[in-house]
Amino acid sequence: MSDRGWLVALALAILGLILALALVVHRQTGSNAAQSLPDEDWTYVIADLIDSNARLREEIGALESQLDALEDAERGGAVLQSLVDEVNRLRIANGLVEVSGPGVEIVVSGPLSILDLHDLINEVRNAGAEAVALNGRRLAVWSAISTDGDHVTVDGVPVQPPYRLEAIGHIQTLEAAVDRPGGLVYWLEEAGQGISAVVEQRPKLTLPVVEHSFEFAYAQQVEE
Amino acid sequence: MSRWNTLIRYATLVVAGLTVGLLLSLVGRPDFWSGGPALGNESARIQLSIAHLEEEQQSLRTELAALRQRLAQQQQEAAANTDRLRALTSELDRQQLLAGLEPVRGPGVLVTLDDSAVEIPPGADANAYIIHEYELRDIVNLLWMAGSEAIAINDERLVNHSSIYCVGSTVMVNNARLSPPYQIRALGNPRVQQDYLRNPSYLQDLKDKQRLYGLLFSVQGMASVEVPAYRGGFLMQYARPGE
Repeated sequence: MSDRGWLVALALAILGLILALALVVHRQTGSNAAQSLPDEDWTYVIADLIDSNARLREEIGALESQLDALEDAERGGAVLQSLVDEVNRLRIANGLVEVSGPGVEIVVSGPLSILDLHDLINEVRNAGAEAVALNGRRLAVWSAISTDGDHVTVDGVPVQPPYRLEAIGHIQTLEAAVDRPGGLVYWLEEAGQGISAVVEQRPKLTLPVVEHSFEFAYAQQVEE
Repeated sequence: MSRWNTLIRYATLVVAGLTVGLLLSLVGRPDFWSGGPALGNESARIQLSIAHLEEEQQSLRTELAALRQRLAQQQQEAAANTDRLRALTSELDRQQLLAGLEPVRGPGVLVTLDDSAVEIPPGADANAYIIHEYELRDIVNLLWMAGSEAIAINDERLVNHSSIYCVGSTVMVNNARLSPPYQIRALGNPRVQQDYLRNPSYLQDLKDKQRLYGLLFSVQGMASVEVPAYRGGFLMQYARPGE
């Protein structure tokens, strides 16, 4: 064999070596590099994963029961709503909130006395009026109808005739209470002093808030 | 030497080179020395379960993060609800107190009214000798004017729903029948209340009847008077808050 022949053979052998190395390196990088861990290490990895997954599940369970408890409290929203309803009901009763509803409007003209006005207001309250206003002034339980000598006053504020009493409640009951034969309107008109009254049904009345605030200064709650 | 022989020699050299290369690269691998197993079924299973567990962990973490977020949100809402609850409860207490649903005590007056003890002369109007419901209304109105804070007639607290009316000769308040003597307890400033009640321009009719027919009408300032709670309902069937 010639020298040239040997050179060619050596080159081919080196090429073979390079090819083989390249093949092995390719195989190694193609697979999971972590695969180079021994088996008992893999068991640790798996045990760790199982353990940490179990802890995660445990925590999820705990959070879910917390969430359930909170959502139960959310149902306490119903309690909240009933409280709101109750507060609203009492605010209406106390005249501390604007209020709407069906009712009647009674307009009386003529020389009405303070006692007649008391009578009229008492009559609609007796017929279940839930909210009452005289000449646009809301009446609370502590409201006083009086006179300053010249005019009728509602809580000290003079109002001009004709007197317009608005009452929210059951329309027919309210109407019958004042307008029935032998009822208050009948007697006022019969008195022959030129008093006339008109009672009108109103599908919706809106009455304002009482204008004078009211807070207890003397009354102390009695603890039961 | 034939061409054929030369070719075989070259081929042998190539195969030898490849073999040496392979051997060398195997020796270079770490598991060649640690005696670790080659890749097999066992390993594939291990890899699979690890992949599975890792995937599971990922989804558990996602779930946990979502839960934490929801919980934080709910906790915030619950805290807000607790604050609202506290505010509502104190507002309810205030409204109940104002509405007359709580018994109250304080300075005030006691007004006592009773029918006349005088024997009604023949032919006289019996109405002049008894207390009427409108007289009670007049006194109550005057007491509100005098700044009273709470009023009860006998045991009936006056509230928004209350009316004072009569059926026959029986006075009714809050649908309860009252009988004389009528005791009106009103909480407020006793001096102001008495000034109003004694003012000659108020309750003229009643004061005349007291003088002429012996009706009983007495006013007593009190350092402490107790007004009971309203015991009826506050039904609101027609009135709604707002426009």
